[in-house]
Amino acid sequence: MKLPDFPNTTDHNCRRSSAPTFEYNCLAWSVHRQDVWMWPDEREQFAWPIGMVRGDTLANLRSFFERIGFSVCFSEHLEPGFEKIAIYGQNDIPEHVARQLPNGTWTSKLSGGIDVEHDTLNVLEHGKYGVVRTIMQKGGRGPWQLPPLHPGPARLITPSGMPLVP
Amino acid sequence: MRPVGFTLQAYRLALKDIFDSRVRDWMDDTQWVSSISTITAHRQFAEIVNMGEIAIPFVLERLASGELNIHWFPLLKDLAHGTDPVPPEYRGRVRQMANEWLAWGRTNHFID
Repeated sequence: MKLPDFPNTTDHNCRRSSAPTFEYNCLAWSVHRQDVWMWPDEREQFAWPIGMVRGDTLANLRSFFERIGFSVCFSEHLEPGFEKIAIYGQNDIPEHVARQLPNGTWTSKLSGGIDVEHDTLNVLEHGKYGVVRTIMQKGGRGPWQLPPLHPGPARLITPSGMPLVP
Repeated sequence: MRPVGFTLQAYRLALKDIFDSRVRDWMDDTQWVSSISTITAHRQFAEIVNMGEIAIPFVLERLASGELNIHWFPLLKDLAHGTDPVPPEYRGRVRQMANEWLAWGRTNHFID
């Protein structure tokens, strides 16, 4: 499908793969989550691991992927036994994350819209997402174990360690 | 101060037209964007925030009608001067975030 804000997309290199939904975004989808909107926003309104620095920077997104076991790599080509993600950005602002599928193509959740499958990373470059700034990989296939994303509700604990029952 | 001769209803409708127009531009330009920095750096975001609390009911009405758009949440937080009624465990859970903001809006008489 041809997407108006992405000049490299064509009916052949980009295919719709889901209905539109605001339930999750590209970052959540890159780690196989479809139930939450993840982002290191400084207003602290969206999900992010407890204790990790917030702020819309490429470094913060890279730190998140390193925390769950990814490391930087230099090829977008499929390598058996590895799952890859790619972070797109403009200047130091991360704009999008895509995940490689087992067949070597890529899957992307487009903000609050649809998922698409695209043949290469270049298909979504030079539009709203800028260019690919980092590719990272991890052995195995997701879904991955994530660190806790939200502080739980406050609990009162007695000196003996037992929850205080009102 | 509203202009003399305007009814309150007409004044509200005029403001809503301005709000709708700004939102349309903002959403069109940022519909594919995940970066909250990019969404909130848009010129129309600042223009809507400058409308002040009078814009809060317009946003909440959109949420109540089922427009579960994440754009509303940073906008509401700025319009409400940093208030955020969403408990930490609901961060990023769009439906729960919407419900918390709507409950806050009712409690504070921004919507019925």
